[in-house]
Parts: sequence; C-alpha cells; structure tokens
Amino acid sequence: MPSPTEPQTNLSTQPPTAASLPTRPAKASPTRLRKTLIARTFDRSFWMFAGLSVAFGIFCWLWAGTEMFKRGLHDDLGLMTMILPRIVLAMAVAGLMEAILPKDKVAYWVGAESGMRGILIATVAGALTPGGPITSFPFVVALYMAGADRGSLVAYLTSWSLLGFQRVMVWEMPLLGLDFVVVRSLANLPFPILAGILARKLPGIETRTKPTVSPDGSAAHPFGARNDR
Amino acid sequence: MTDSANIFIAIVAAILFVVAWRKGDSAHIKGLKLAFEHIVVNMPRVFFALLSAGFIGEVLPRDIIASWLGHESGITGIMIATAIGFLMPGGPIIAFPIVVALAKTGAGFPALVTFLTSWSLLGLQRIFAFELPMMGHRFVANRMAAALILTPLTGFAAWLTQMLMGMP
Repeated sequence: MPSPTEPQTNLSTQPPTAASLPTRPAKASPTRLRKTLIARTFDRSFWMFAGLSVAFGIFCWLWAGTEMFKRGLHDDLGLMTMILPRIVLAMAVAGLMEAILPKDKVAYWVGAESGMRGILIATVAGALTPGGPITSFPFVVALYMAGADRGSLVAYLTSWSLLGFQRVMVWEMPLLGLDFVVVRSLANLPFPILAGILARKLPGIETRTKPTVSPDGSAAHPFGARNDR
Repeated sequence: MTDSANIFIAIVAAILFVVAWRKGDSAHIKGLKLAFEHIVVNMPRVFFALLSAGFIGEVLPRDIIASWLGHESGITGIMIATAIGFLMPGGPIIAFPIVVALAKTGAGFPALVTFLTSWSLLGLQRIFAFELPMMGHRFVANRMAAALILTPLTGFAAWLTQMLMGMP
C-alpha cells in the first residue's frame, strides 16, 4: 500500500511491490502473546538480577552497616525515580525505531554482510550520539532487533564510549585540558573499528534477521540493481 | 545535564512518532506496541540491575581503588589502570575528577587514557546496570572480550601519540 507521503528511498530501479515487502507472520492470539510476554519478562535473567540485588543488598548491609545500607537504598531509589521515566522514553524510541527501520536496509548498511561499511557507519554514529547509557542503549536494542550485527553494535558502543563528542566537551575538555583531549582522541581513533572487527571474529550473538531475497528472486539484496549502475 | 538528556530523548521519541505516523501502514501503532513490549520486558530487570549496581557502588571503596595506581608508569601503570577502570563505579561526574586527582599524583597520559578507556568500555557498574539486562550475557561477553584485548593497547597508542607529537 504505497502512500504518496511514504519516505521510502526508491534507490532500486524497480518500484517496491507488495510482494517484496516483508510480510508479518500470522498474529498470535492475545492470550498466547500475553503469556509469552510474561515468560519473556520473568525469565532467568530477571530472576538472576532480582537474586543478585538481594544478595548485594545483604552483603552491603553486613559489610558497610545498617546506616550505609539505608543510605545506599535511599540513593538508589532516588536515582530510580529519575532514571526509570527516562527508560520509558528510551524504550519508546527503541520501539518506534524498530517499527520505522526497514529491516532489509538495516541489514544492508549495518548487518552481518555489511563489512567495513557497517563498522564505519556505526563508528561515526556512536561519536555523534549524545547523552549517557540510557540514551545510547535504545539505539543498540532497536538496531539489533532490526538486523544489525554484533560487529556494528560493538563498534557503535565503543565509539560512543571513547569518542562521544558530548562527553569530551562537557567533561574532558574543561577538566583535563586540550593536550589530554588531543592525545586521547587521536590514540583512541582506530579502536572502535578494531573492536567491531574483533567482535565479529569472536563468538557472540547472531544477527536477528538475514538479508531478504524477494520472492521472485529478482533482487539479491534490498537495493536491487543499484550495484549495476 | 540530566534535564537536557531527558529533553533530547523526548524530542527524538516525538520525531520518530511523527515519522512513523507519516509513514502510514499504522507504523506508529506498531511502534508503540513494540515500545510497550520493551518496557514490560526490560523495566523489571533494569530496576533490579540498577539496585544491584547501586549496592556495588556503595561497597567498592573509590579512594582505595584509585590509590592503587600511585606512581606506577609504563606497562605496570597501564595494567593497573585497566583494572581500576573496570572496578571504578559511577558516571563521568565521579570518573573525571578521579583522573584529575590521578594526574596530580604524577600518573602519565598513557595510564590516564587507559583508565578512561577501561572505565568507559569495561566499567562493571554500567555493564551491570544497562547492557547486561538489555542485551544479554552473550553480547556482553563478546564486546568485553574485544574491549579487554584493546584497552591496554589504547595506553600504548597514547604513549605513541605523545611521542610522535613531541610532548614531554
């Protein structure tokens, strides 16, 4: 259903047809969906974190005393009231991005087959992403869901950590001075790329979606005949 | 700082909502549904992860960890800087003043750069609070393996950069 406002880039020489658009699998029944959602929420990872927070809490109480434990808990909950609303917003960003991003194009640009292209794009994007972990992780989650591979994701996170311009401007430049900033930035420049390459060589999560081939087999990758130009 | 981050991410969310809505195909509804799923799945575990990370931060003695670096330089300094970056809890508001303090005790650029790299890439508390609950242990293990190999190298790269630029 192509609408006139559709911002899809028609780089392909073939107009997108209904058949070439990814089709969603048949909807699960609401009860089943709710069940899987509950199962996904309260999985092993959830219980691990719940158990660890109790364990660390007890350890903190025994190690540092009741006063420190109370203060820690108080600080934590105060921090939480600030962070949790931001996580709601971040997850909204992740969900909306996932709905907008065309999976085949994500796979082309930053997927497992993207080679250096994916790693370089991720490195630039990471350096430009402002804010702390709560603003950067939704992008990682959404890109992973949309088919980015671990090399690109690792390059993105490494670049954001090491080269993120906002941290340099807000913290590093005023506190440590220009000399330090220049040495550290130049020294760190190649590392997001190296981290992305290394991450691909090392075992880890697999890409969630493979590059799609349209049903009639006419386009081996999403940009169709683009390479022939 | 915190307010600007909230405003930034709210604006991004609003822009994405409009883009999804304009895209048609009820992509905005689908996006909100996916967002709801992310919130339901991630929120409870991030809550407990943050709680754990908070207790870790309470227990780890920042001053003592920072004092390990002392006057060490060269390879020993780089290795110790890697270790203290891994252990040091807290955000930039904690880490950067520590770098300033370390610089005053006589630590060189290579060790300081290594500390910042390690704290950024391997920092236990942040990995625990965000990356592990959201991305899972296999992603974290993969990224940490790559980072662990590269972190000491950033110290050598800093040393080399300093040499090439003719800095003392």
